[in-house]
Amino acid sequence: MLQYTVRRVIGMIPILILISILLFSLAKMVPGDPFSGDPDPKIKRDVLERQRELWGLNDPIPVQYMSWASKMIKGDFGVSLRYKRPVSDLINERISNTLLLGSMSLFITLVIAIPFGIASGRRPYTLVDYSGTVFSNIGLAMPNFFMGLLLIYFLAIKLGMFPAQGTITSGADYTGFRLFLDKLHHLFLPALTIGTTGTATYFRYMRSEYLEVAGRDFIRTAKAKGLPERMVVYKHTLRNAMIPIITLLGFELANLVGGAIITEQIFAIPGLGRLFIESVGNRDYPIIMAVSMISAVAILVGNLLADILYSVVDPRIRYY
Amino acid sequence: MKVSRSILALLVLALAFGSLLVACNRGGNDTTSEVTPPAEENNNNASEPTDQPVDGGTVTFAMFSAPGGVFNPVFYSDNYESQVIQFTFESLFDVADDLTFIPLLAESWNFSDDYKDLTVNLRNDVKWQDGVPFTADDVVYTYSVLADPKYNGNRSGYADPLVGYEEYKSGAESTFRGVEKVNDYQVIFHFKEARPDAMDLANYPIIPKHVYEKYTVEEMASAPETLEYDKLIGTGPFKPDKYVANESYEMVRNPDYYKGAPHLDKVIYKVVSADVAASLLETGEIDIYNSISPSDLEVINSIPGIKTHEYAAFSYQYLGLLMNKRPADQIKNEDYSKPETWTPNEKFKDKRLRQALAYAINRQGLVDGLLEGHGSVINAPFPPVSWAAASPDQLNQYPYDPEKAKALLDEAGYIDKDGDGFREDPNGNKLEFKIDYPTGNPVRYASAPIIVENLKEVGLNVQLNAPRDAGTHFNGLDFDESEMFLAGWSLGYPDPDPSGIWKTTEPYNNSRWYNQESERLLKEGVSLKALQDQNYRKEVYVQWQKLINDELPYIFLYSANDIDAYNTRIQNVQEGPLGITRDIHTWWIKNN
Repeated sequence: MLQYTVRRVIGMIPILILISILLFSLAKMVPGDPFSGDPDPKIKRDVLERQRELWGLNDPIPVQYMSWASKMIKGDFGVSLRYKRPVSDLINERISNTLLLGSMSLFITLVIAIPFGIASGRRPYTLVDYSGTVFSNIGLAMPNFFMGLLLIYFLAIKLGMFPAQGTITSGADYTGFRLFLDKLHHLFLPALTIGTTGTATYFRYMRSEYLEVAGRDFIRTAKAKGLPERMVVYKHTLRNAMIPIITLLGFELANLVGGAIITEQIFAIPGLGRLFIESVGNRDYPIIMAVSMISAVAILVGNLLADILYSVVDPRIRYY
Repeated sequence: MKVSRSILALLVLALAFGSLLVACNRGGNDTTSEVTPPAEENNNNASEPTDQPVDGGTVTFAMFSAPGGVFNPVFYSDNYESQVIQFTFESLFDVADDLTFIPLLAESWNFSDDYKDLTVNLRNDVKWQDGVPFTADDVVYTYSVLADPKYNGNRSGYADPLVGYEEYKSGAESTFRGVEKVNDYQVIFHFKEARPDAMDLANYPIIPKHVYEKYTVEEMASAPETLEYDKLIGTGPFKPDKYVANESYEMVRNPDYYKGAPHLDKVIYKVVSADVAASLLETGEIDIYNSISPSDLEVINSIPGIKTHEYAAFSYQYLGLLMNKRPADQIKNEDYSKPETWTPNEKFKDKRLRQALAYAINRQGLVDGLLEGHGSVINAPFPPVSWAAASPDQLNQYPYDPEKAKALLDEAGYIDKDGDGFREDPNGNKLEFKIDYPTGNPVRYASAPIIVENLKEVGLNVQLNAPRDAGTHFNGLDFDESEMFLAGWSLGYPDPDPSGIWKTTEPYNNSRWYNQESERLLKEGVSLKALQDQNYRKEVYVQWQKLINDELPYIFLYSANDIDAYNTRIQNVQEGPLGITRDIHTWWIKNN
């Protein structure tokens, strides 16, 4: 197992290099650069040209790539061409919000989808089943944008139960645990917005897997043996039905990082998703590369964790 | 049995969810404590003029994107950063409603006879927000930073025109001669040559020497006093106090402000989403919503206690025509300097065709339909409130007149001979036009198909290319890629000199317009005679506006209005052509 993990980790390196080359080339192929987009006639062209020179934008692309890569290996993400600040600062300001938001939405998704999925699996074609299916499909069909605005309008503006925007209460100066609670309070609505969208997928997988496993012989045996229902459901059926869920969760790690761009926009949450989209529009290559690489690492690590989790859940799965 | 179990399960889940919501309600009142819903009465501020201002209260502005995080005026490049520092840092002059200069940190000023030296007398009662007096040293220091060899920001254009810039920049001289300190309250700006924008150039925000001089210019770019909002020290009415990065920026009153201590306790800039801004005005979470989206106007008008102020924005949209093409090697090398080698674009050579375009496009229709009347048609690139603007009767208004357009086209020889509904050129060749347009501005985006319809109606075969994102589109203009393009410019102020865009060799002259008369007038507008005699200067610019209004290298389309919305509990708001924040230190809150 350990050997396997080490081999997988080593195998990530060439993949990451390939991804970085591909992304870098694609980003550079898009016409324009950070200094060309928004012309301000008060700033003379030669000043912009000088800035281009300074930041190495006139060098040949392989040279630019090597200069970026050599810094990246040492952990230096470079300086944002648009904001003139270290990219790591910009990311640090936002990554905790994105991760917290991602975790909360994943939590909400699972808390809703898994129990409902199990309940539906246990009692297919009943009221529980139908209501679960309808509810999760509504979550899937309704656009994030619309759901977010509805929640803001009803729960934040009309009822005042939750704040409408931002991640913390400005001017209140909370610290420590109180600050954490404040953040949870602010992120609840956006997390709900994203969470309800994801429930359909997990719900359906849970339900169909559960049904499939529940029909197997060994479950009949367990029931025939007289095992309590709880044990049959959780210890035997559920454990076997979890495999596709784990697959999905493996990719979820990347979603946590990628951020939910639209939701961040509506709720005015400074997060990685928004930063990424803006930097693409601004042709801010250091940020584009940094966020993409973080996502790439997250996907690869997520997959590895999922694979390892398989062998935990299903002892028949072995790696060599 | 089955059904009741499942209903039970549902109820339990609902209960759990509900209790989660209730639990979270604990902190729900925090944001409302600072919030004051707008006054319910139909507020007419003028009805009680004898009200005395009271101290206290907070005003919250909405902003729609987080500032980049570089707050030192010498380094900032972001519009959003300039918003959160506008009440902190000040410059020597302020701009009046007719776009002339009035005193701010400067008390008085005068030019030498040759207009190369500008002597400025500074106020002697100004203190920085940490108590240190403001003096001429700070002005000299600010410009020395802009001229510094290691300065890498993009504002060196403010120091470049001053004497001694190259010598200081290259390190040949160790002091920057461009700004000279005469005594603690007098400086002289020495320009290399007489120029009309001298006062504009002398008007950069001043930074405190005693705060930044401990850093080299290189270090300054990443110093805490540059990057951390709460460490900024300025001379303005409000001092930065607290901030939550990318979310909210708070300033408190500067009691020693030289124009008088502000009444407000705090001013806050809050980052919110434009989609919910109107609702936040209603709950009182924000008090001021600048440049509202037109779609919100109806909603905002229905909120009691909110007033709107509408004024012409200093920008316009146009349909650009590529008048001349540069040789391929010049395009590649970004060489704009040889207009004699440019080839005229046959398609737009005839002025009658260009004027026909202007008559054919229903520009008032665009204003009425897309802007819902919140804008106006524009016929020359000058802000209407500028002292140099030509009056409407001096310009051809090009009213919407498809028949006139057709007549002009007929006269110029553009006839449809083969009966396909589209005119051929005078030589009988097929004639086709392609318009490029960008995303990013919804009104401009929506105007493109309408313009195409208008032009088709007079028999011109015009097609739209697929829209591209703004960055790509504007980049393409540098390389003469588009023959017809939709774009916009802001209208420069305070100084009206249009050379920055219209000088033939300017890269920003994206129609590549080459007209000797225009060149002559632009030069005349900044000649010494023009600088000495403003009436003469205005005459020159009126002539230039008439020329461009006749020649039409652009079809000028429309200028949208800006609408600001604010809570009427704020008293003393001065509504003007430049917005509502003039003299913010006189604002006070009337609570009912």
